[in-house]
Amino acid sequence: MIPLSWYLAVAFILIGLGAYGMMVKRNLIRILIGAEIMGNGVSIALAAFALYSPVFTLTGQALIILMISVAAGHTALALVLMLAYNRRYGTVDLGRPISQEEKINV
Amino acid sequence: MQGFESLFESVEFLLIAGIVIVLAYLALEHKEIVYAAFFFGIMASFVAGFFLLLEAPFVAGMQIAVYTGGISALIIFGVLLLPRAQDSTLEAIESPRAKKIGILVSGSIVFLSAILALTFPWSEAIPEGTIESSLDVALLAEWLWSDHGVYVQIIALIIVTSLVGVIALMKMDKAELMKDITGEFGIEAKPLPEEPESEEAPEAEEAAESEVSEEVDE
Amino acid sequence: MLLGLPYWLILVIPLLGSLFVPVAGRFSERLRDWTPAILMGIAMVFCWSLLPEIGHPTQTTSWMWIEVLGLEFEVLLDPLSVLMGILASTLCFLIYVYSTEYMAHEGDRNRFFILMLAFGGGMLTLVLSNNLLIAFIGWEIMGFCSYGLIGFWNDKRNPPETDPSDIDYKNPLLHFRTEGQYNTHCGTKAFIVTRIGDAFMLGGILILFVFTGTFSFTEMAADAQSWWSTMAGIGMLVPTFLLIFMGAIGKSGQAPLQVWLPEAMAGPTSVSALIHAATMVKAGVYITARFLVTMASAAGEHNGGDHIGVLQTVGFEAALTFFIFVAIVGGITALMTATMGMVSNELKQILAFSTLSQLGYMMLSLGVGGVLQAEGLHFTDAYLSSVMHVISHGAFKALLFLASGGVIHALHTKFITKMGGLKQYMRKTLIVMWIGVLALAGIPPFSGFWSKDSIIEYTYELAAHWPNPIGWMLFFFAVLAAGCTIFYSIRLMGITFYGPSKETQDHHESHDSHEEEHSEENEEFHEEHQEEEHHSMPHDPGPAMMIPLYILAAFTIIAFLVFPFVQNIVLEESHTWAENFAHMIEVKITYPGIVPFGITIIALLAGGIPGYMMYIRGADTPNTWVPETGFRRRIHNFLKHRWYINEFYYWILNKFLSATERYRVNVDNKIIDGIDFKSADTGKGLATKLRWFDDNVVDGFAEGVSTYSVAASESSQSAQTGRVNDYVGVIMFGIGILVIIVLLSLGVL
Repeated sequence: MIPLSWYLAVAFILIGLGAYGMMVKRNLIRILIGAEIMGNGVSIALAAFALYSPVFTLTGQALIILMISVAAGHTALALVLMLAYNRRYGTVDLGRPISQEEKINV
Repeated sequence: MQGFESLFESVEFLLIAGIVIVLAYLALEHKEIVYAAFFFGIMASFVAGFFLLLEAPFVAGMQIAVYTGGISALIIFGVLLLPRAQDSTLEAIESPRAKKIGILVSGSIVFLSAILALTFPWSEAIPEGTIESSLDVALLAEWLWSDHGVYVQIIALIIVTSLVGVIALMKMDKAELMKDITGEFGIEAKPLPEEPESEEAPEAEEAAESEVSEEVDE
Repeated sequence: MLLGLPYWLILVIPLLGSLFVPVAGRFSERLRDWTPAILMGIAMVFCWSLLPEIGHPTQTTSWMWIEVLGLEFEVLLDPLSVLMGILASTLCFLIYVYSTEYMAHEGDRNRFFILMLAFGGGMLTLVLSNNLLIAFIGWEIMGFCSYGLIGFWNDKRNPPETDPSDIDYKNPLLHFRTEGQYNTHCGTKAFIVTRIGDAFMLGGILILFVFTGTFSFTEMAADAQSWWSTMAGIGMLVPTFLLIFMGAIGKSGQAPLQVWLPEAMAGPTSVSALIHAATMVKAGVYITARFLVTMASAAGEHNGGDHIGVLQTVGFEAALTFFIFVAIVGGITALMTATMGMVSNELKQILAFSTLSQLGYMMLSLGVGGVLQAEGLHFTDAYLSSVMHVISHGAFKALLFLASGGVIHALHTKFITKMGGLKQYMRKTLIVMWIGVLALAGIPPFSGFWSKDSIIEYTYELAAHWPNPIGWMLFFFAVLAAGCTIFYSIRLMGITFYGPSKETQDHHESHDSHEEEHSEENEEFHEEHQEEEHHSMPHDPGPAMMIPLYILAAFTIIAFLVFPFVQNIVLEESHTWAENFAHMIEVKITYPGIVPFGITIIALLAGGIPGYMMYIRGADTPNTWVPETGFRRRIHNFLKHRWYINEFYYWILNKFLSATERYRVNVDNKIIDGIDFKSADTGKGLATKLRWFDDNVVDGFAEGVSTYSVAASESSQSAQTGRVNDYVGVIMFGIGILVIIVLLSLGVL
């Protein structure tokens, strides 16, 4: 049987990759993909715990199901926010320079 | 026989893990955003393989249905709706320093967490007991819908709220969307910049905002 | 009830319906004006349908109202309440119909019709409730509505109309700059005077509750044996009943609280009719009658139908004292106000005095009934004649008021001295007014005769059988009041309708003085009628005003055919109509009934002939009967000043007010205000000192804090880049630190 630690290692690698993407990328869609990758990593960790901990079996699976449902909702919201961002600033680039006023007002 | 099965499982695991990690890397680093989105979808399907390994076939089904079928499709839609996102100049990293810091932080987290995962005394932390049948979808349904139905309702509320927000944002008139929140308790109305692409703020905007800026500056 | 509907609908329809009057006004002005009439018409139909259910209701009569207090709303269906309900709802209905035309050109009719409808609802609540407390609520609803309605024209800016022969009051409280002020004053006066009575009444109700433990009339009657003797034993019975009777005195305008009713004529005429005929003043009579019935039924139940018993054994003295008091108050009121009415010059005020006088008769009759019962004689007949007088008075007084409203409407003056010679212009009004006046005077065969004459008759019976000389005094009062009544009735008719037509010049005069007030109204009249004669020619009012008059006049004439039925209902007898009718006639023309009848006829002749000579035959010649000086003039003045009772109250009030004013000037201004000002000055000095501290230390501290926090936030601003990447980085950094902490705690690092 594969040790729990292996699964957790994979989960952490995915989380790290997602975090790296979110930290470094400028493209909004890339950032969204990074977030989803992090979410997948968390799902794997939960599933592993669900299998390896006897009391956590059902709870873990149910949590993954709920997580996936919410992920669908928040992805839709994120896309619409991107559209709004694009409409407002004319770009999906996060790295654009931000004026002082904008910092105050937003 | 036992040894063979366990070996086969390990091979499976390593294979899937390698594919998933490579795909995730590609999803983040591929120059073309459309390819990246496809890689993400494939990665989500392979994550379902992990769930199958972890004896959660229902979750695996859901993962494929929602992530591969729904979310990656949504992302591709987003890419299509935002032609600017396909601009490959966006992929250039602002500064090597930012990239270094990013790699450093995420790498150190992965490293530290891996140490934690490996050294943590799981056998002591996890209570002994017989593992419930995780393959039984009926039990899962009972847990979800009857024993802890309130969670499902809360999640449903959250999703409904987000969808209402989505619709509201989409229905907003363009001009209205451009404006900041106005009103006596909010900030003053900000006139639309004539050229959204041009980054230099028009003079009129500054004049309108001078009041607010003064207020804040004080 | 009709269609098996619940009983409470009768009161709820007008009370809640009043709130819908303005709603109806949103749709149509006309619908709004007719809303009270329609709703009250529904309530009237329901009331009439209660007639077969007297004593044996077909549905539940009680509903839990406030469960915590055990307070129930219960409908009482006995002859008295049902008859009063029918009377009130029918008269209200006719008056509301009349109002639709009478008020058609006034402003602010929302307020008027809301209050009118609530007024009727209050009366129905009072009469139909079996609970003293809820009856009191209805009583107070009426009090409030009367206040609002009497002072309805509170915004008239013209100076009040005066009469040349009016007395000049010296009291500054009786001088008014505008008519609106006068009207408001009248409404307030009615409210305050009735409130004095109500305060006593509430006290009486609470005392009664302490002893009986219930507010319900029926439970009170059933339990009479215990509380009656307890209260009589410690001497509380008479004071308690007198307290409750004080409420009736205030509401029904008995002496000495009769002062508000003549002034209550300031409101529109339909309001006066409502107050006098249907609702307000009858409430006092109703409450007194209710207590008489409660006591009598208590006595009757415990003695197998014989109406003598408990009262005789336990509370004989107490009951006798109370009813003697009632009878005396009634008798004095009847005579006193009748004499006041003989000299008044205001058309509606004369009618107000006649109302007071007739109410005095009713109280007298109830008192006589009570005394007769306490004496062991039958009380029922006197009680019956009181109820009949309530009914007949309601009808003919509504008739008189509505007719005089037509006169006032046409002439725009309220003083009969400015009228005269109207008979050729207002033929129909003249006829119905004569019918009402003859009924008021008690001329056979009009309705007033049957009821009033039987009151006098039972007073005579009491006087003859009772050793106490008070009986003869009451009889004397009653007969004298009857003589006065016919005199002022004929005087009213003579001055208003006969004699030379002063109308042309006087009308123009009064019209000029009312130019402001009625200009708008007249314009509308022009538009409607398109006839020039309106200015010079008074005319009969339109159908919505005349039809109620015809109905009431018809009832007044044929009342003697109706009364036998009423007798059966009230006394719960089963005689045939013919038997009752024969008995009614027979009592008048056989011994001993013929003696008081004869005396009454003599009194009527003694009052009527001089009245006829002076005001109808001598209408064209100036009246010289009262000389400028001398004894007659002094009597005239005494009556004209309303026995000085009203002015006495104002004198006391004025004295009180000037005393308080002196107190204000001498004590309050000098001492109390002095202390105030001195302490204020000291405080100011102290505050100036404190201000320095405040400005420099407290404000300095606060400003320093804010200045430094602004500076701190500005310096840390650069950390807020507003970029997701940086924020995610910070979050991940934090997670890394957490992981390191966990690792440290595990001892790995």
